[in-house]
Amino acid sequence: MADAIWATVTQAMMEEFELEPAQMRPEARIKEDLGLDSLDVVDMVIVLESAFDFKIQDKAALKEIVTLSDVADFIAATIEAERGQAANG
Amino acid sequence: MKPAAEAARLIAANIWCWGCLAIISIAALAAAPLWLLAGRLRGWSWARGVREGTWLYARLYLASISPFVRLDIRHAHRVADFAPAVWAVNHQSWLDLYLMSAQPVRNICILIRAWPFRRLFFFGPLMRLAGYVPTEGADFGGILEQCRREIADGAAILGYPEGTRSRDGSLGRFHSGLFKLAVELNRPVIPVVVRHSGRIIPKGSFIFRPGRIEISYEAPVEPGQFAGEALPHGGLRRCVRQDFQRVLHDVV
Repeated sequence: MADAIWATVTQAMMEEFELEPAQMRPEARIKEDLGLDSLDVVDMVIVLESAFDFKIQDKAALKEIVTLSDVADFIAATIEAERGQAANG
Repeated sequence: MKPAAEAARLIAANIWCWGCLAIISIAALAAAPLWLLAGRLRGWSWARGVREGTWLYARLYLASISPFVRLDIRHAHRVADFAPAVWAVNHQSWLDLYLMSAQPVRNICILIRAWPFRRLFFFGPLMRLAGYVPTEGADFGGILEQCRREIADGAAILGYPEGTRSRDGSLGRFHSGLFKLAVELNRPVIPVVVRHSGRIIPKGSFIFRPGRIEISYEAPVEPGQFAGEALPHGGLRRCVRQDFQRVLHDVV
């Protein structure tokens, strides 16, 4: 699943922000290396919500995200949490 | 052209272009108080007075360097036909700021990064007086409100979506801010495509190279056509960038 999440995240980022495949490194920092500004980060959330078809509830946790790897990990954790909620109720 | 003649022309161009810049800038600063007072008598705000004066100053400078820097201007009427609009301009050289006077609209509100307000000798205070908008680290809501007032006052909003000057003339990534403003203001975006200003005097260089600059005011793009998208400003940004790519690749 991690590979699928990574592929979807990088595809969405490249399409929305006109980034190059070579820039899609796990350690790439969103602001410093990819050049996204604060408005872009807001857009990134909307793009990811659209790509994964869910609503990100924990917006505060997004502040901890620094790298692309953090984004993929955050998405994986969110999907996991949603599955847990669905299983419980 | 022979190397010696080419070198002589290069030297002459630099003496002329820098000399004109110094003379016209000093004359403009000396005339500024009187100009601004005359503007007040005509009912202009201070900001309007500075903008009108800046346009005239830039126009005079472009005219003065025309023996070495020729301008090829296309479709400039569009900025007046679709006013007030948001202008997206690609950025290669500090000369681009002077190129804004290559068209008839004088009331222009420029969105600029924060550093020119702090570091540029006398331009900083003038930019503040002109009501230009510093965007770096600024709150989007505040920028939007200021731009809304400017549009209501008939001003054009000019921004450089790449955010910085290109070193090699290639088109950089477009940031979203300018397009988000256009969507919120519901005003068309006019792509202003500049070619070769970076060849005349590139980023980091102090040497003028004689040549020709092309400025093309492309057909306006209405933000309403992207209303159905999840990120309307994203669609607008991509559409405008495609216009830039088309013109930069097609025009010879």
